[in-house]
Amino acid sequence: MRITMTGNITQNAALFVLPWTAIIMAATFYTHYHIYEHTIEKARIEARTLFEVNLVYRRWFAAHGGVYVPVTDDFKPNPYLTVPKRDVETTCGDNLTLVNPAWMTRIVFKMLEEQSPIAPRNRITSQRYLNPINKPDEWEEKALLAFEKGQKEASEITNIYGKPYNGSLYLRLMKPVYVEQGCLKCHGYQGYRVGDLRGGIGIAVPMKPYLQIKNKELGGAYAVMILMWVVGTIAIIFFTRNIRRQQEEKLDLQQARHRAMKEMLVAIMHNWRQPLNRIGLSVQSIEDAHAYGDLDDRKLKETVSFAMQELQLMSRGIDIFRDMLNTTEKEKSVEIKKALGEVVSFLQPQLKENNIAYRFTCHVHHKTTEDVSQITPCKEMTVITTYENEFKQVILAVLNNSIEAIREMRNKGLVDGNERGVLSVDFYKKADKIVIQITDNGGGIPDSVMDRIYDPYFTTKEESLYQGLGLYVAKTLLENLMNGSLKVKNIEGGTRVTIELGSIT
Amino acid sequence: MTDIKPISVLYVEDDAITRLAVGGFIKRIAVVYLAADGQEGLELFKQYKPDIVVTDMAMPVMGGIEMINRIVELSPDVPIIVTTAYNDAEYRSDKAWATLNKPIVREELIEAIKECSERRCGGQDK
Repeated sequence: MRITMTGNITQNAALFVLPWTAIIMAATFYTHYHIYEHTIEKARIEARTLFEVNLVYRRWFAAHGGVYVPVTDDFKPNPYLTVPKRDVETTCGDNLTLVNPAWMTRIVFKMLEEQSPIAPRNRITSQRYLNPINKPDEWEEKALLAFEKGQKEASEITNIYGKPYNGSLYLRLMKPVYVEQGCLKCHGYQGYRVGDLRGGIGIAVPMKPYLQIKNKELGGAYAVMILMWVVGTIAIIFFTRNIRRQQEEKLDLQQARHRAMKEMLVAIMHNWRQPLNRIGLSVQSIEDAHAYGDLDDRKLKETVSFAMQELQLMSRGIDIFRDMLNTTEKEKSVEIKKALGEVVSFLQPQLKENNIAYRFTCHVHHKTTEDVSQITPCKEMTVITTYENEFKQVILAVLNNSIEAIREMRNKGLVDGNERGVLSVDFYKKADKIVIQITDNGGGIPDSVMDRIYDPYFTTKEESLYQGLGLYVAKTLLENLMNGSLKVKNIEGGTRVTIELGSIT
Repeated sequence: MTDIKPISVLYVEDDAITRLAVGGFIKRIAVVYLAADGQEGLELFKQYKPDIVVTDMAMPVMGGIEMINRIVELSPDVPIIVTTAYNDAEYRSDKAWATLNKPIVREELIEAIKECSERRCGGQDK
């Protein structure tokens, strides 16, 4: 009965782990993308705020037509500012020069740069610049063109002026600036009208602090994803292994049932040999008596009645066999001693044939009997709830194993052929459990076979290794189905199998 | 049969019903000694020196194989017919002249006994 399982633990787990890994990877990419996008958006918000602040300052400046400040060695009049009254002298004789909004913001942001190494930068630019330092660079040129087409904002993560500034990337954001009334004081001569696109104000926000936060967030997200993957994978492996174990147990049980059936077939074969022979002889003895002229009424009746008795016995054997063959659907109350007696009586032809003595001892009632028919049920002590037919199969398998062991030992000449085999069944009650001990003098089980009884793949191995197989079958049925246990121990000259079944009802 | 001295057969079988029935068949053509196990069979063999032995294999006290070995030690030429219910080697003997499977068929058994008797007598005459 060689049954091979398709796949193995690794393959079964891989079936779930691969999609799980794909899900985690997708989630990781998605999270990564979003964290990055949020980081840029945060920088954009800062840039927009600075733009608005910048614009408000400029507006205030422009609304007042600029602000006059004293001319010093470090602060000279702006040569690109061409308005009347650019330079004035106060009544006290102080020289003042007009500061326009663009100049003011340039000064302020320069101060900011000196103050902080990661300061945002500001640029005002226009296609029609007056001061050459306000000439748009390549990026600004593109943005201004886009504004002319109606775009309201341009932004990009980039180097600033062709190279990373202070080792950091910048978010460059530029928004259009439209001509307002106040602008015309200085720019009116250029032909602008209110509402015209004047140029753009660009803010560059250093990304370094944002990227640092982003990396921290990404680190956290990766850690969570890895943790999820590990936990999920462990869970998958655990569950697939469990599923497999359940499958194996089911398979074991199936194989055990299969094997138990075989044991029963062997038993019925033995069961029938003798009665078949006897009936055959009865029929032939009628013919024989008739041929020799001594067939009288009495002999005929006696022979027919004997043959019928044998047929009845065989028929009963079939009934027992049929019952035992069935799978018990539901646990029910079983009189264990009665069931035990039925199995032993079923095996009696084999016991007799193999010259094996049988002894049953009920340690609950301190009774010993060698006659199967005398195993009397004692209800108050020995009724348990279990699978009746499977219980019988277990006992049959264990007893068959003992018979086999005794035969084997005789075949190998290990004992004198005249020595009787002995099979004793001991019945105990232990707390709420019943204990059945089956002891034989079959020489004990070799260690190599003993190991196999506990090997879950035993049934898939060499069929010829009969010995121990019955015990494996019994153990599997008991443990996987009946919540019982089976232990095997070699004792002086034989084997002792201890079966425990709970609980007495 | 034209024998002046009828042949004698030892029939060893543990099952009483079978023993009586088969013994009855053999009695039609020979003198029969009946034994219920190997031990008893060996005793009767020593006592009566039968011409032919018919025996079952699986028996209590002393099995067929053991008894056959002992008998062959005493009389290597005695024809032995084995009746067995099983095909397994352990239920057969290479010292048997003939092996009959159970259920026993009367004609086959009688035929085997006659054949053994003829072969043995032939052997002895020469």
